[in-house]
Amino acid sequence: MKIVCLLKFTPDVDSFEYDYTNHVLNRENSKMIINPDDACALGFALNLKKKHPDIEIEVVTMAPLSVKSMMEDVIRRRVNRGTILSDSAFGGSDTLTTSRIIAAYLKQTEYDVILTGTQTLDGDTAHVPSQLAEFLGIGQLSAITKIDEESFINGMPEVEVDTENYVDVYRIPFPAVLSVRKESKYRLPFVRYADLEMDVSDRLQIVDHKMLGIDPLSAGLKGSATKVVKTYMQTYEQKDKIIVHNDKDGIETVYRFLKDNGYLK
Amino acid sequence: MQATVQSGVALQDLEDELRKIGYTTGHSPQSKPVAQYGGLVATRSIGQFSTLYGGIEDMVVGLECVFPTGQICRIKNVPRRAGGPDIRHIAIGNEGTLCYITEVTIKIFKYFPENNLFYGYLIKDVATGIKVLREVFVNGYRPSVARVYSEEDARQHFYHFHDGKCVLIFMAEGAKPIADACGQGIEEAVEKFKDGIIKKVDSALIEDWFNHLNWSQKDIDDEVQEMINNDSHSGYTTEISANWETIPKIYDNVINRIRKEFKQADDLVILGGHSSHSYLNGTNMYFVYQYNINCEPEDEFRMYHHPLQTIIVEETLKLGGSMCHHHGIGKYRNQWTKEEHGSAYYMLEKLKETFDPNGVMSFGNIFYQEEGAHFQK
Ligand SMILES: Cc1cc2nc3c(=O)[nH]c(=O)nc-3n(C[C@H](O)[C@H](O)[C@H](O)COP(=O)(O)OP(=O)(O)OC[C@H]3O[C@@H](n4cnc5c(N)ncnc54)[C@H](O)[C@@H]3O)c2cc1C
Repeated sequence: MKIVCLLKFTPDVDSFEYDYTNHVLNRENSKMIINPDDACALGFALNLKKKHPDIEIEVVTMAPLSVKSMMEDVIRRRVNRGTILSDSAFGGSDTLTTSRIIAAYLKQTEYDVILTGTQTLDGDTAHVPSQLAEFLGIGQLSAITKIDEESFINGMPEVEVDTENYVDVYRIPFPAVLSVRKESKYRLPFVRYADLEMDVSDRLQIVDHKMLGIDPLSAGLKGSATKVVKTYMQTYEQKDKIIVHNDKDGIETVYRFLKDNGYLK
Repeated sequence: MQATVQSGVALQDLEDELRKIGYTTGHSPQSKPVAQYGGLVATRSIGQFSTLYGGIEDMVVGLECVFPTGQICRIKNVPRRAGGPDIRHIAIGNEGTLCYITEVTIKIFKYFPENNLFYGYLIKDVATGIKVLREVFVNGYRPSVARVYSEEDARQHFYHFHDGKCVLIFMAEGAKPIADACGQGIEEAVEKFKDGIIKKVDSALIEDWFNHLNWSQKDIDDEVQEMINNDSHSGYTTEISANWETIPKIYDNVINRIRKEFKQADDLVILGGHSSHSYLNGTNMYFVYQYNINCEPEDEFRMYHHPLQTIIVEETLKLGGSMCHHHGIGKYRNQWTKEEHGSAYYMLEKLKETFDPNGVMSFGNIFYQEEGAHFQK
């Protein structure tokens, strides 16, 4: 079985610090991480591969070449192959164009199933997986919180989908795009100590527009229909810190706070 | 005044019994609720009031132990003697590598909690705190608690008042005139170095901190569960000792080297330390480090703890300090035992050869074993 995992490296928004005086986001300490939903999807695949070593996993990302070392670390987690779709012509692509570029690559590639996250920390649109499935002409499910391993191995996975009020159970035949949420808690294994310096260059490929047969004018900003009109910073007010003691008054203060803010009914 | 206990008696149990009749063991390691006398003696443990009562080695009067041959030895209980080398020290701190301790007799002390005095200060830096500690001890005062915390370490212990600064704390205890005199000595030392003192802290806050120091079995279990649930680690420590002048140098060298050399430096959440046990000629430094674990649990030791510990041990030994003020050597520091002891390692090695010729006692503790190396590095 071959699983393709789509993965995006995003800024770790939790490490941004908000400057209350100037109302700007301080990104100095921010680092890039694997988008949490995507990490769970890859975590599921790698944990399954532990039990079924013949499973082949290819990780695909569309990104600038600066992600190369992070991608090498992904491959060191016992991934068979890594592919970076990278070209200066791809920069600024909207979700539709991104999906088209990824689909162009996947049309040239063999796979049984494509695992992705449901949405990304930075974009948050959840567009790419469904658009990709549409371009490939296969089925897709989002917001998956559980995949049954046995039926997955048999090519007709039973998955649980969180629809906020309910958990729906679906069966979907391969090939399909399965989009996982981080609430699934599939844990992405780390690179093992012995593999930290492993040379994985022969397992990493860089694919550009020529290899995909894509006209550069139909990609990137020029090839994208979505135009950003304006972006602005949301402003927040700094809250005063209240320190209470473990006594009657303290408990009352915490209780009031939770009640007034709707955390307690 | 002394008490005799079997090695399995929990320190907490003895302390509780003694308190009922107005006495104390004076021994209060943070592991008090879980540790037993055999382990306390075998690891050369030290408590939080060591500056007044001493470490366990100052408390043990005599003991009984069994050697691997089956030989039982009783070291008698006398106030002092000059009967050749002090053989108590073959058992104290042996970490189970030479003999098994079965019974211990320890000194006990009168307890005067009503006279306790607490002092706390926010200070400019660790070096200022060390200067004040030194002043207090060389003037002959014996506070039961005397500690200096770096900014980072203070943040985790004194979140309600540290204000981002280093913290200096003292506790004086004993018969009233002694406690009062000690308090005065502390105030004079603080006054002498007032340029480095930012402000005095309400002593009620220090007393409150002091009353919540110890770890119960539940605290330990909760901590372990928290690590399992969140793939996190709540912190490691490596504690060392050295002379007064050397300690601040080691502290700075260690912190600078870790910041520069440690590959996982970005994962560190806390890196700092405190001095908590002082002597006439020097003090200890208890390095603390907490980090986010970005590796498999099996690799954590080699990726995080060992490289950090290596820097601390190397910097300490380089300047003539000891890599193991307390917590013993165990299995994870035995690669440096020879360097720690230098030419005196000969004596340690001969003890092992003589008392445990087949190497069956606490394999890997203190004495390096090749089989354990792949867990360490
Ligand atoms: C939360 C926590 C806080 C701590 N705080 C302190 C502190 O403030 N100060 C301090 O000094 N230490 C501290 N320690 C470590 C401390 O050394 C041990 O907790 C204690 O001294 C060991 O006693 P134990 O009964 O738990 O021994 P164990 O952990 O059971 O044994 C420790 C070692 O001693 C040997 N040993 C045990 N019993 C005997 C015996 N009867 N004869 C020969 N060898 C024996 C064993 O081989 C073993 O290697 C702390 C540990 C924890 C977990």
